[in-house]
Amino acid sequence: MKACLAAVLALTALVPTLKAAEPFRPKDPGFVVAELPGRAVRSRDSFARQLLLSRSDPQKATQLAAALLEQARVSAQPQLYGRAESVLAPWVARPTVPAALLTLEADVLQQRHEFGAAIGLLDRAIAQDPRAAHARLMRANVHIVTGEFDRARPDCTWLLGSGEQWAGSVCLAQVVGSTGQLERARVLLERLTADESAGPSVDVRAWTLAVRADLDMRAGALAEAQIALTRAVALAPTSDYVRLALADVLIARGYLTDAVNVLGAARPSVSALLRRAIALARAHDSQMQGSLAELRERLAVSAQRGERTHLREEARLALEFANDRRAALALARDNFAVQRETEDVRLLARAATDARDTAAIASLEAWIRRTHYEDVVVDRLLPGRESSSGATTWIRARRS
Amino acid sequence: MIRRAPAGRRPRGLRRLLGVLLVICAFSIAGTRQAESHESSTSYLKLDAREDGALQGSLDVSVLDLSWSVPLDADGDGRVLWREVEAVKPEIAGLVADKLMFERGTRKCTFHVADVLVTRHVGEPYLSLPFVGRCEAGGLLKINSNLFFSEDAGHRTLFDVHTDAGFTAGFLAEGTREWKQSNEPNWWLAFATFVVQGIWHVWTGYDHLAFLLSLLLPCALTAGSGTWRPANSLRIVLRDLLRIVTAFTVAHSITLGLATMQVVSMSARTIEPLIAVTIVISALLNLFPRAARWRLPLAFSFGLIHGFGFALALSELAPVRGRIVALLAGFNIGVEIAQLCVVLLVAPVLVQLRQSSLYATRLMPATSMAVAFAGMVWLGARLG
Repeated sequence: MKACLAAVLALTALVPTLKAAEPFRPKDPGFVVAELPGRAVRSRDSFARQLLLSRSDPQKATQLAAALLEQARVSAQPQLYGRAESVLAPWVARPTVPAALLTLEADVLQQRHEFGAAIGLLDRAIAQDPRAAHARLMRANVHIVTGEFDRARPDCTWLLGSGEQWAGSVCLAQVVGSTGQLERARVLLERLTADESAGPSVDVRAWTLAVRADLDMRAGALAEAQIALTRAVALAPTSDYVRLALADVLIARGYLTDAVNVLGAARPSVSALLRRAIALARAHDSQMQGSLAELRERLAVSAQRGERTHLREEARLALEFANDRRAALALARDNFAVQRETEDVRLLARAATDARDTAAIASLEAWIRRTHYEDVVVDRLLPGRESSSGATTWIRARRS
Repeated sequence: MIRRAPAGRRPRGLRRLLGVLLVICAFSIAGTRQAESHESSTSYLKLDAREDGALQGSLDVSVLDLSWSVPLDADGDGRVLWREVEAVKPEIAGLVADKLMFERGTRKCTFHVADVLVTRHVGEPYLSLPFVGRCEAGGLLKINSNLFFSEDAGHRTLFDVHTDAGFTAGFLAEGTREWKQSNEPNWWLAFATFVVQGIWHVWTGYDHLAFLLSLLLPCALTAGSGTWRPANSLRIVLRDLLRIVTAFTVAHSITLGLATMQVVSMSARTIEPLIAVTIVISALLNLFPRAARWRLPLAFSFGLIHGFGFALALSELAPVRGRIVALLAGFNIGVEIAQLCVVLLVAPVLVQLRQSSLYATRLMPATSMAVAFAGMVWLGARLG
């Protein structure tokens, strides 16, 4: 009977649940309750005062919000986006506000996946100040993320014409790389990133390398993508975005331990936890349950908050860990309606083919035909695409 | 190259700002790739408002969020120590008292933060602030919070509220800082929920199913001269079924009612193993046709024990304080519906099987042995 009970207990231990921590009173007065990130930048005590001052001066509001967003980026504190929005929101409703302020609010909105609203603010910012390079670059990028490549193109060209050669080049490479000229885009970025020290700032160089790696992955050149992203992580070690991208390449190449190590330094976000769980699951590592439990808890909190900003991760979670193909397809479809980056297109292709949903496959194929989008992974998944794809043709040409 | 705007065209401050913006652009807007950022700040409010006016609950706030409003890091070393938290307890309690408001009926509730504790939510450090208070007895509850919403547009307070009308979960946000209990507590909905819970409890509580099966197995048989024989007519089968099921139902309804009304009580530690014992005994009894006359009294007395089990399950469900009779009835009706379904599923099979000589001599004893074995396993686990 004891053995039976032990077996039952062992089985329960395997079920991934993350118990809510019981509140407790530390005995040691020196117990470290929390570490506050970004201490040097934050001026915690005066935030209320600064917020008050920002209410009457749009310049002050812009400066405070920019400082908060910069701090959010440097110290990986996503909560600060909400604080920045509190600073900006009262101004956005007014008819005339500085273009820079509108651009910052657009940044906050696009971070929350409110792309339509972000574009609206960026249109306003550019109408006010047609020379606002940052607003142009952001508008182009939001259009690229939502798969509206032709709308992004004029802003990229404008950046090139206005002297923003580097940002304009990366911008345009993303557009042409998604509209039938993947190889041309790769060559463009290869040239741009050939000189290790060239580039306006390390962050911009890391971004460029990440975009290059993305195009490499779509062309099936995983080794090259890995090299580019390794460089990007070295340039911007605090950027979770490049780390996650590198982890994806490592997982795709089967370097699972390396992927887990790369993710170790990232903030335990939904994206990082998901990738960690995938890498551990493929390596048959039981620690996967812990990552999965924490991931599900984070998703549950997000759902309780009334958000739908993790559709991409939910779709990938459903595809990797749940056996519900219809649910995975519904999530991938909803996600594709919001964003259309490499991973989003791949998720929909995989979910649609897994579920053998001919309508979903047909509509994705129609989008690919219309945009001339290229990705070897998508082509392999979709029936009848492999032979017609430019990317595949290119790979074959390279092999021969 | 990203160049700064030519000097002289824009004020200096703005030029510097544009430099920052372009860096932000290059990274954060490189698509939504930094888009993990929607993991914004969240606080957790638990509230239990009883009909007699007693109020208790807790508010869990992120240390990081709180550090913007209360000087938690007195020495500025970037670490919040427990002694630093203890030193500002009055400020923390004051902030919560100032920003959080509960109302019931026509009056504001009074409450105070009773303690400050340390906890974690999704891996992040939090302070848990338990509070106690008093509201008007009866009336509709209202929650209003201004905590962090003005400074942080992304903040949400996720709440779990227990009242006599039931359990509600939701969130407060910048645009919706208030939650009001809906006008008429929907008793029909609560009743229906308990009916479903009752059904669910039987169908997912395999021990009750096993016990019911052990009672039903010999229903299509009659005991005579030391052996089981097929019952002569359908009428006899149905009469036996009806008597056994009624005895069990009446008995467990009695104890379920008494235990829920807290007239009698029995602990889970006693009841759970006892239920396993009833399964073992009633299943083993099926092996002895001579003991058939004990089936009816045992169905009744064991039913009394199972009633305590149902009461335990019911007590684990949230709101059994108000309108207890309606909810109790709902739960019991659910249990009966589930049982009836089992009887309707099993009885036709038994009626068909009884003609086969294998049923009385092999199948029925074997199934009873299997049920008895399961009962023993549960008994071991529950005693272990």
